[in-house]
Amino acid sequence: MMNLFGLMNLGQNALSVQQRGLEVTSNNIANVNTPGYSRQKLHMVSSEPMALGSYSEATLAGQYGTGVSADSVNRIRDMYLDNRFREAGQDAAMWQAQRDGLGQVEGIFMELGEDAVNGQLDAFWGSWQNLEQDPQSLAYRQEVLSRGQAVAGSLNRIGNELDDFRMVVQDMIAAEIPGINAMADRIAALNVNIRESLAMGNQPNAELDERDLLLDELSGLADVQISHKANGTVIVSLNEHNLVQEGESMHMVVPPKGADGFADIYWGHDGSSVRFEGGKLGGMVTVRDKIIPDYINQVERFGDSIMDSVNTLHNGGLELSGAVAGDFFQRSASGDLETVFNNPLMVAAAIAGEGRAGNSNALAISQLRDQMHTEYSKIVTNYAQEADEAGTMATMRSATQANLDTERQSVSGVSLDEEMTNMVKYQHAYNAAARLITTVDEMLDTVINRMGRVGR
Amino acid sequence: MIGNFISDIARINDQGMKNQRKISSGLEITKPSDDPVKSSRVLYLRTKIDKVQQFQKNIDHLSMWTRQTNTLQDSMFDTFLRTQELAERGASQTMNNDQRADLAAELDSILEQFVELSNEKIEGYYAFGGNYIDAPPFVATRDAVTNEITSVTLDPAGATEGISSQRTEEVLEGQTETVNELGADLFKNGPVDYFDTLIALRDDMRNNVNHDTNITNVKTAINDINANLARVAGRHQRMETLKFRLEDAELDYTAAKAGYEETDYVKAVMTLQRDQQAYEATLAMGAKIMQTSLLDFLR
Repeated sequence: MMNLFGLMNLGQNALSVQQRGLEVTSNNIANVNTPGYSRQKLHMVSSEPMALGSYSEATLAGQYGTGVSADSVNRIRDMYLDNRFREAGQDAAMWQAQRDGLGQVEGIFMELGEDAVNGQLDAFWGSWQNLEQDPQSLAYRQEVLSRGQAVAGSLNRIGNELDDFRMVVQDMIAAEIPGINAMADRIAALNVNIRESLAMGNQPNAELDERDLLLDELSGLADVQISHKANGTVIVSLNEHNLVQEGESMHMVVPPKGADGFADIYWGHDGSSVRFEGGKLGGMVTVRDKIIPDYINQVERFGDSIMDSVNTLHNGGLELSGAVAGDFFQRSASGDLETVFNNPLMVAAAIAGEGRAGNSNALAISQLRDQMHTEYSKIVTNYAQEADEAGTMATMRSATQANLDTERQSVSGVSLDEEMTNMVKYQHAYNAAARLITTVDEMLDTVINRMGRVGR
Repeated sequence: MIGNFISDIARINDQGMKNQRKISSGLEITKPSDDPVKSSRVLYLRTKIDKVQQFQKNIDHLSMWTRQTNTLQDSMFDTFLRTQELAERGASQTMNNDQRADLAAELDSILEQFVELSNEKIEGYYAFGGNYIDAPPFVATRDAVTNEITSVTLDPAGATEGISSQRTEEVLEGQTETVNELGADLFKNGPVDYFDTLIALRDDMRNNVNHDTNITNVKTAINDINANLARVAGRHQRMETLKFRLEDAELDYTAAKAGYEETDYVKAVMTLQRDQQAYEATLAMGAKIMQTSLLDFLR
C-alpha cells in the first residue's frame, strides 16, 4: 500500500503533468499562425504500477496505479500527406514557371496589337497592291520598301528579344542556386541535431518542423527526392546526386558566364552538370532550353520563308529603269533580315517582257498574303495554346496542392477550438489534482496533528 | 477554414478583375493565350478585311481608268461622226474641187486630232500604249514638203517591251480585271485601220477620187468604236456591282471579327453583378464564422 506521502507525490505528479499539458497547449496556441508548425500533443502514460500482493497484503489481487507520467511530446504530422503535397507543389511550380515564360514570349510577339507582325504583314502586302495600281508612283514604291523594312525589323526585334529573355532566364536560374545551397546546409545541420536528439530519446519537434518547411520549399524549386532514414535524418537527392546526406551537403556552383552568355551550373564535388527536370527550376530550364529556342527557330524559319518567297518573284523582274532586278530581302552578316536596297526605283513591279511600267510582279507578290498569313498564324497559335495549356495545368496542380494543404492543416494545424477544449480539460484535471493534494494534506494533518491525542 | 476563405476571396477577386478589364477595354481577348482559337480567327479576319478593303481601292482605281478611257473613246466617236459627215458631203455630186479641198483640209486636222487622242495619257501612262512609257506609242510619218501625215504606226510596231502588255489588278480572290486598252488592238488591228482610213479619205477627197470604200470604212470604224466603248463601259458597270458585293463582305467580316473580339456587354455586366454578389456573400459568411469560436462560450 502506498503511504500518504506517496499519495501526495501522486497528486504532485498529476499537477505537474497536467501543467505540462497546459504548456503544450499554450505552445500550440501561441504558434497557431506559425508557418510549418505542426501541433504537438503531450503523450501521457500511466506510471509503472505496483503489484499488489506484497508481504503485507497477501490476498488482494491486482495492481496499484502510481499516477501519470509525461512520456513525450509528439508532433502530429502525416508524412504521406507531406509527400503528396510536395509532389503537387513541384508540378504546380514547374507548370507555373513555364506559363510565366510563355507569357513573356507572348508579350514579345505583341499580338494582337495592331502594329504587331500580322498587321505589318498586311500593310506590306497592301503596299504591293497599291503599287499594282500605279507602278511608276515613287510614293507607292517607297511604301513597299518601308513596309518591307518594317516587317524585317519586327522579326529581327522578336528574335533579339527572345535571345535577351533567354539570358534573363539563365540569370534567374543562377540566382536561385545560393538559396538552394543555403537550404541544403541548413537541412544538413538540422539532420545532425535531430539525429543526436532522437538518439538521446528526445523529440526535437521545432527542428523537425523547420526541416519539413525547408523540404517543402526545396521541393517547389527542384525535382528532389526525399527519403527518411531510421535514424531520423533525411536524404535529399537530385538526379542521383545527394544534395543532403546525414550532416553533409553538396553545393552547386555557378561558373562565370561563357562567351555565349551562358553558365552551365555544375556540382561542386564532381564537376558534372546539374540537371533540373521538375519544380520551378525544371520549368525554367525547359523555358530556357526548349521553349525559347523553339520560338527563335520558328521566327527565323518564317523570316527565311518570306525572304525566299518574295525573292523568287522579285528576282528577274524589272526595276523601273528596265534593268533586271535582284533579291528584295537578304540576311545581313549578323543574321538580321533586311532589304537588299534602299532605292525605291529598284522595286521590281514588272516581270520580264512586259515593259518597265508593268505591274504583274506587284500583283504576284501581293498574292503571297494568304500563304504567309497561314504560316505566321501557326506560330501565334502555337504559343497561345502552349501558354493556355501550361496555365491550365498550373492551376489544376495548384488547386490539388491547396487541397492537400488543407488536409495537412486539418491533421497538423492548430485548431483553436480544440486547444481551448484541451485547456479546459487540463485545467479541470489540475484542479482535481490540487483538490487531491488538499485532501491528502488534511489527512496528513489528521494523522500528524490529531492522532494519538486521546483525551487532550 | 480561414485558408479556404482567403483563397476563395482571392479567386473571386481575380475573376472580377478579369471581367472589369473586359468591360473597360471593350475587348473579350487582349492576348492570344486568352483564347487561342478565337484569336486565330481574329487574325484571319483582320487579314481578310484588309484584303477586301484593298480590292475596293483597286476597283476605284480601275473605275477611274475606265471612265477616262470612255471619255477618250467618246471624243473619238464624235471625231468619226464628223468624219462621216464630211465624207458624205464630199461624196455628193454637187461639190466642186475647191470645196473638196476645204473638206480635205478639215479632214487633215481631224487626223491630227485623232493621232493626239490616241497618244493621250491617263495618270502618267499612255492610255493606249500598254506598259510603254518612254514615248508616244503612235508615231506619224510626215511628208517632207507638206508636213502632212502620210502614215501612222505603232512605233516601233510592238518591238518595244511592254507596248502590247496590259496591266491587271486583283478585284476579287484570284480574279483580276484589265486596266488599259491596247491601241494596237483598237486602232490598227480591228476591222479597219483607223489611221489608214482617215488618211485615205483625206487623200481621196483632195484628189477627187471616189471614196465610197472609205465611207464604208468610216462607218465600220464608228461601229467598232461603239462596240469598244460599250465593252469598256460594261467593265465599269461590273466593277461598280462588284464593289457593292465587296462592301457587304467587308461588313460581314467586320461583324464576325467584332463577335470574336469585342466584349458582350450584357453578359459582362451580368457576370460582374453575379461576382459582386458572390463576393459579398463570401465576405459576410466568413465574417460570421470567423468571429465565433469556443472562446465566446467558455467562462
